Amino acid sequence: MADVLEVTEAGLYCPAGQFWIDPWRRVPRAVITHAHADHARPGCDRYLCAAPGKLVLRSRLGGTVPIDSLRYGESLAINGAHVSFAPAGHILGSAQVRVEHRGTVWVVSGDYKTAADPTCDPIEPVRADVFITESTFGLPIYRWPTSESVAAEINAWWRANQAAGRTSVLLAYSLGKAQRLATMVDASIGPIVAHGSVMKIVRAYRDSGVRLPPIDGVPPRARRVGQGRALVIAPPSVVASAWLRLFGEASIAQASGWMTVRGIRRKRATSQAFVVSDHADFPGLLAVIEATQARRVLVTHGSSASLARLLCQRGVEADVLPTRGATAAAETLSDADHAGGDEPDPPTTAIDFPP
Amino acid sequence: MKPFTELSWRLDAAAEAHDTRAALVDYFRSVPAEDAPTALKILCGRKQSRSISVADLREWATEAAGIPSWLVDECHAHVGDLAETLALILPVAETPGSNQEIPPAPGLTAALLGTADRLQTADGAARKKIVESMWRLLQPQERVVWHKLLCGTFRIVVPQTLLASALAEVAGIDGPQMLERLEARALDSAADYCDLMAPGTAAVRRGPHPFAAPVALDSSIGAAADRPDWQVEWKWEGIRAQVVCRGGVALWTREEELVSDRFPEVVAAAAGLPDSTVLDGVLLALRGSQITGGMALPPRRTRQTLLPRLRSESPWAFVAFDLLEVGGTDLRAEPLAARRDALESLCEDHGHPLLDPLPAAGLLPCPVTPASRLWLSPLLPAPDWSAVEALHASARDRAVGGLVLKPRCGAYATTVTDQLWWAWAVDPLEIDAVLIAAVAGSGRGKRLNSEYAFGVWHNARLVRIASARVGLTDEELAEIDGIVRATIQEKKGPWRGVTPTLVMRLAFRGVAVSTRHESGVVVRSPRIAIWRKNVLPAEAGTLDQLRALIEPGADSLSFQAPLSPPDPQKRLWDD
Ligand SMILES: [Zn+2]
Ligand SMILES: [Zn+2]
Repeated sequence: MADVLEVTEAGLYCPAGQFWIDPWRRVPRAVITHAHADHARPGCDRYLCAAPGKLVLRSRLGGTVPIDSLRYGESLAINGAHVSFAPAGHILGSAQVRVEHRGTVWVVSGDYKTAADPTCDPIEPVRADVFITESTFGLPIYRWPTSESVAAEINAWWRANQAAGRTSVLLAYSLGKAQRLATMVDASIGPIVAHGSVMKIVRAYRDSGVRLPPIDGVPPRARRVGQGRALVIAPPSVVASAWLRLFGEASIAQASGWMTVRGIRRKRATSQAFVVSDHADFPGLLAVIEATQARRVLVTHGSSASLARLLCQRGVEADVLPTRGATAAAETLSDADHAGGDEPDPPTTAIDFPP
Repeated sequence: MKPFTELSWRLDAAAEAHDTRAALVDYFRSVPAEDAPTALKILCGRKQSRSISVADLREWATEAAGIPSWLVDECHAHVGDLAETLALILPVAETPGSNQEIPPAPGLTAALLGTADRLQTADGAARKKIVESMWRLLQPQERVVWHKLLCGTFRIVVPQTLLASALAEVAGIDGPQMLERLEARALDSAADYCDLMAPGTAAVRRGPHPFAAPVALDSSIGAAADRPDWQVEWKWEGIRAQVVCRGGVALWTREEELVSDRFPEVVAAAAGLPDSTVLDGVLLALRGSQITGGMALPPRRTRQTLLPRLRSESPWAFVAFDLLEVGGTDLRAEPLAARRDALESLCEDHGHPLLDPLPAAGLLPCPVTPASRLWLSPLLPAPDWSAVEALHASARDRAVGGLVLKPRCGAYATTVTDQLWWAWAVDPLEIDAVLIAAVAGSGRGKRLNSEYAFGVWHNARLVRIASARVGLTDEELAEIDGIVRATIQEKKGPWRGVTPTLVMRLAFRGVAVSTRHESGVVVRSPRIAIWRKNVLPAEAGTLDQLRALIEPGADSLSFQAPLSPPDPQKRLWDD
C-alpha cells in the first residue's frame, strides 16, 4: 500500500490527489493549514484553506490568486483523494488536513494548541491511521499556565506600569498571538494600541466576524500615542526601532512559550516575559496524539526526535518526518516576524545564574 | 517562597542598577519580617550551605515526573540548568484554596532553613519525602530558586551599597546610615530586621566599627622617617578583631565575622569592661608563656565549635592597641594620643596588664600568664629613626610581624587620609626553588599556568614546598607558560608535572613545621620575588636551608597551619 502522503522537494505531497500541503516551493495546488509565513508561502497557482481563515490568508498573500475554501468538516474530492479540514485551535482558520485515500486516513496537524482561545475554533482531534504532528514544544518542561493566570499577570503588569507612568509594550506575533492577547487582557484598564502589521490582521479578523476589543492603530506622523497608559501590541521586530520611541518611557514584555526557560528569557532581554503560546504544550501534544488513535505518528518541527523516541517507548510506531521546510522556516522567521510569522526556534540557551 | 522568587527573577532580568533597586524596594516593602534576614544574607552573598545534592534531586524529580532519564538529559541540554530543568518537569503544584487540606506555600525562611534543619536529621527515604512534600507546594519558578538555595548554588548577589540604598528608601532613612547599620548589625531574627529598619537617626550599633587598616610601608620609608611624631608598636601576628561590649561581650573580626563563641577566655576577660566600649586589637595564640607567631595559628578560627582539646592546647588572648568607644562615647575622631591615654587608664582600672615592650622570642613576662587574657599593647621606645630601624630588625626574632607606625595626632582613620597607619613588615625570607608543576587554567582566558608549585632539594629529589604565581609580570607569565606547555610530563588532577628547568626566588613571610605537608614544613604567604634565569635547577635551595628559617616558637608546635597559604588579597592573617 502506497503512502497517502510523501515528502518531496517541494514539501508534503499527496500523489493520489496531486496536491501539496503547506509547500515550501511554488506548486500548482497548495492546501494550507494556516496563514503563518512558514506554512502559507506565496507564488502557488491555487490555494485551498479552511473557510474561517480565507480572509486572513488573502491578507497575507494579497493579490487575486485563487483561494478556495471548505468549511470545517466539509469534504472535497481532489483526483480521488478526499480532503477535509478540522479545527486546530492555533489561530483563526487554522486547520488539520485530513486526507483519505482508499480507506486510509492521514491527518496533518499543522500547528495546534489545546488551550482556549476566543479568536478561533477549538481543536477537534481527528481519528487517523497516520498522524503527522508538530512538536514545537515537545519537551516535558513545556507546560502552559492557564490563560486566566497569564491574563492576570499581564493585567497586573499593565496596571503597575500605568501607576509608574510607563507605557506597556507587549511583543507578540502579528497574526494570532496579538489578537488573542487583546482578548485576554482587561480592556477597561486603558487603551489598546497596535502596530501596523498587527492592525492589518485585526481588520482581517474583524471582517471574518471575530469580536475584538477596541484597538487603535498608530496614525502616521503621530507623536506620543497613549503615552504612559496604553498597552501597545507589536511584533518583536520593533525592538530597538525608532517606532518604540513614540510611547515615551516603556516597559517591554514578550509573550511566548519559550519564556518558560529562564536562559531564553535572558537572551531576549526584556524586563518582563509571559508564557503564552499558540502551540500545544507537552501534555497537549500527548493528549492530541492519543486522541487520534493513530497507529503511526510522524513528528515534525521542534523537538521531534525526543518526542518520537518517547512515543516509541510507549508502544506507538513513531518517526521523525524529515522536512526541509521546518528548518528553512526557522531560519527565515526572524525576517518574517514583521510579516507575522510563527514562534521561531529558541536561541541556544544560557547556562546557570550569572556569577 | 513566592515574593523571594519574584525578586530573584526580577534581579535576574534587571539590566540596570535602578531596575535592581526597584525590585529590592518592592520586595522589602512587603517582605514578612521573619523572611527578611534570610533574604538579606542570601543577597549579600553569605556562604551558603548545601543541604542536598543535585544528584538526589535529579533522581527523585525524574521519578516524580514519570519520564525516562534520557529525556531529562535532553531537557537539561535544552534548558542549560539542571535545577531549573527539574523544577519544570515536576508535576504541577497543588493550588491552595482549591483544597482545604493544602497548606499555603511556605515562606523563604521556612522553606530554606526549616527544610535544611529537617533534612539534616533525616535519612534517605525521609529526605526524599521532605523534598517531595515541598515540591507539591511550590510553583516551577519557586522550585528553581528553592533548588538552588538548597544546593548552595544560588548566585544572585547585590552590591552592599545598592542593597543599603533600597533598604534605606523602605525604612525612610538615608543611605549611608543604612549602610552603617547593615555593616554593624547582626541579622539573625525578625527582631534584628525590625531594628535595622527602625526609623530615626540614633542607630544602635551592635557590630564593630569599621576597621582602620595600616598601609604597607616599603618604598615610602624615607618619607616616614621624616615624620617625627610616630607611635611605634609591634605588629602582632594574629587575628585582627574588635572587642565590642554592649550588654555583653562580642568579638568581631575584620571580616565582620562574629567569633565570640570561639574565644570564651577572651570574652570572659573583657566581661568587666564598662558597657558601650569598643577595643581594637589582635587575637593572639599562646603556647605556654609564649606568643606564637602568626605562622602557627591554630585552626580555632575555623572551628564551628570549640573542642576541649584544642582549647587546652591553644589558649588565646587579646592584645588591645586602640580604644574606639568607651562608656558610650565615640573616640574615633579624637587624636591617637588621647585615645591611647584613655586606653591605658581603662586597662589600668580593670587590671589588664601591659605587655613587655621588648619580649625575647615571643616570650611573655611571667606575671601576665595565664590569669588574664586581655592585654595592653606596649608602645616601643623609638626616640629616633635609627631606633625604629633597630626594632624592625629585631622583629623576626621576637616572633612579631614587624612594626606599626601611627601618627599621634591622627584620628581613627578608615578612609584614605594622610593620617594612616603604616605597617612595616619584617623583611621576607627567601629561597631559590624549582618550578615542578602548574595548574591547568580554567575559566576565562584559559591560561595554563593559573598556579605553580615549587620544590627544593632533599635527598637528591625535589620536595614540594609551596605554590604561588604572584610576583611575575605578564610577559614573564607568558614566557613561562610556553616553557611549561613544552615540558609537561604527567597529569595529576588539575596539576601538570613538568621537567624541572625553571628556578624562581620565592619570598615568604615565615616557615613552620607542618604534619600535613610532605616536606614537613609550610611556607607562609609565598610569592615569586624574581625569576632566576641564570640559576640551574641543581643550584636551587634545599629543605635543610628552609628548615633553618623556621620561626622561633613555631618549631615546637603541633598546630596545623592552614592548608594553603592565605590569599594575600584577603589579608586574613595580616594587618
Ligand atoms: Zn508553524
Ligand atoms: Zn503557526
